Amino acid sequence: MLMSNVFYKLIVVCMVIVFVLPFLVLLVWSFSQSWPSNALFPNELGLRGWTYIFSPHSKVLSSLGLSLLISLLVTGIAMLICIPAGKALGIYDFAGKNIVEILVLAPIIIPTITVGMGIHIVFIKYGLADTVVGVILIQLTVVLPYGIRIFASIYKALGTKWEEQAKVLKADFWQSFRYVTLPFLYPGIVSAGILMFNVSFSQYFLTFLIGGGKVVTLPVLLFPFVNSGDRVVASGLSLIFILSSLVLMIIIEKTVSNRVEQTEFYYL
Amino acid sequence: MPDIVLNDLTKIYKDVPALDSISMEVADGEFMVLVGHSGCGKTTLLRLLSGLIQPDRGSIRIAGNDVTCVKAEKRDVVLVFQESLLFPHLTVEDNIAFGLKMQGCSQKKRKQKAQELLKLMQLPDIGRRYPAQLSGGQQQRVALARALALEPKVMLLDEPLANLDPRLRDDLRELIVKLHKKFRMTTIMVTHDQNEAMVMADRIAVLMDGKLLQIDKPYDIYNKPTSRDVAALFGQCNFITGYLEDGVFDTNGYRFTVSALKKPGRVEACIRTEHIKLVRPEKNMPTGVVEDKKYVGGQSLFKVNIGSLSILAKANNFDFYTGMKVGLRIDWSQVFFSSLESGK
Repeated sequence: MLMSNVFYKLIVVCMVIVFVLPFLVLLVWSFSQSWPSNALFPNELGLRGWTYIFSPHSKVLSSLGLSLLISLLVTGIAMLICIPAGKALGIYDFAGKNIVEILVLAPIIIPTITVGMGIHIVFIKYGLADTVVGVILIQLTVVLPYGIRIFASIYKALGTKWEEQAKVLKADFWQSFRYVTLPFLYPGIVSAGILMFNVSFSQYFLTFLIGGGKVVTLPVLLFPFVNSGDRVVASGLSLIFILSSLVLMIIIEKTVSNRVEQTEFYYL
Repeated sequence: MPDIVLNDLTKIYKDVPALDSISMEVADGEFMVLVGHSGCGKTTLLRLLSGLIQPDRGSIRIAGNDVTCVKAEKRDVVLVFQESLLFPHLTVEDNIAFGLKMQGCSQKKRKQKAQELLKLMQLPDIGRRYPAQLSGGQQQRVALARALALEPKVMLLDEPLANLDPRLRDDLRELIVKLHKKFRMTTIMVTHDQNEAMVMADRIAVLMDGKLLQIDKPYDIYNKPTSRDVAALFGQCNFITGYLEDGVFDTNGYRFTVSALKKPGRVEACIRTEHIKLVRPEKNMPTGVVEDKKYVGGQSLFKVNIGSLSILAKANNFDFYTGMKVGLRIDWSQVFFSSLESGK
């Protein structure tokens, strides 16, 4: 008993070191003025980084807004596609199902650069390059496989019996989805939503390629600072980045899981 | 007046007919039980009746209307599945009122109906609980109540007792019979338990390999089976082959005078264990040695060896013992013969 207690405490300590310490380093970085590489602590603290970040000409807040908008739209649209697609792959048998399954997974198996380059040419042709719509479309292709996988396995576990039970009790198609299937999907919506949002939110390469530098999302803004070695501003931006996705995750988790009164019901 | 009329109903799965040209009628308010081995098409028939699947051929009429192509949600038929399938995110009350909600009933009316049904199910205090907090028997009762809430014209039950332990099974069986008497809706129940069928049914339909073998009152199914398969399904039988001619059954060197009216030919006699009496050996009577004795409730099942034959018979526990020489008195008026001649 005592041994296992010690063991658990050790795990917690390790978790703290692995997850929280980098956070602290970022925090200290963002509030430092200069931090020579041979010093353990910064020589001088200051608000240079944060002043820059919150000054209007840095465009940090506007790109954060754009990032959130794009990622929320991508997540929302992806959700509308994933649920029926997951149902088709999870429950029904149709000709060419295996090929469709592979095609759906392709965007995360094939390197993004291949996908991006190929689509870029097409997007230029149709005037989608350098636009927000283009960025949303390209991010959808990367995000969809995750969601479809999740919903396919949920639907596979559910089978058709619940829908049949609803039908027998005189529920039409939408009623059966709204009152019976949807509650089963809530846990999947939470995990797929968080996953897809984060994949989209942290997407740098494809946004940069298709957006052509004109669609400035937070990662696109962050990258030059990391590259040029301005650690102070980069750390501040990273913190904003982490916090905004964390807050969103908590909001999704809270709003959706409140609807599922039975926690033991998370078996899917 | 017949309530359900099935005509030439056929359903084919992957080139194999799950149901092969079923035609039958179920009377208004009747309790019909479908019996057969697993995979004989019982469940397929219920799913066709409920509208979850469409037949490949044939028609279904309910209360005079052709409903063959009517969707499940538009039929006045409710199916209770083998698993209770209570919606886990809804309370018991909401589960029971689910069908009413789908039809747009008011909250007040739904609650009232749910309470009423819970009382009827002898579960008055569980309305606010969730299905995961109920026992298996309670879950199945709630599933029944949920179906009854819609006051369907036809009730279909797919082995509702199969997942319960014996005592609960008896209770729920009584309850189902009671509810049927009270509401008088036409009920079709599927089971693979012949005893259950015997006790509950107004009439029994025996299905085998997708075909309807016989449809009759329980008494007639048991005592006047029309085929060997039906006889074998209900009760315990000894099957003895022999030759039947002019009221004489010739088998294994014994000749019995029987009253069966059959064309002469090779036949198989189906003799139920309870129609054989074990007695002290007498002349002109098959005699053998008791080889085995098994207690089955109030009586014992004796295995008697007569020459190359092994015969099972029921008798009182203490009258006979293993190794004893006994005679068999067979009640030939109760024996069922089926012809073994090809092209019968």
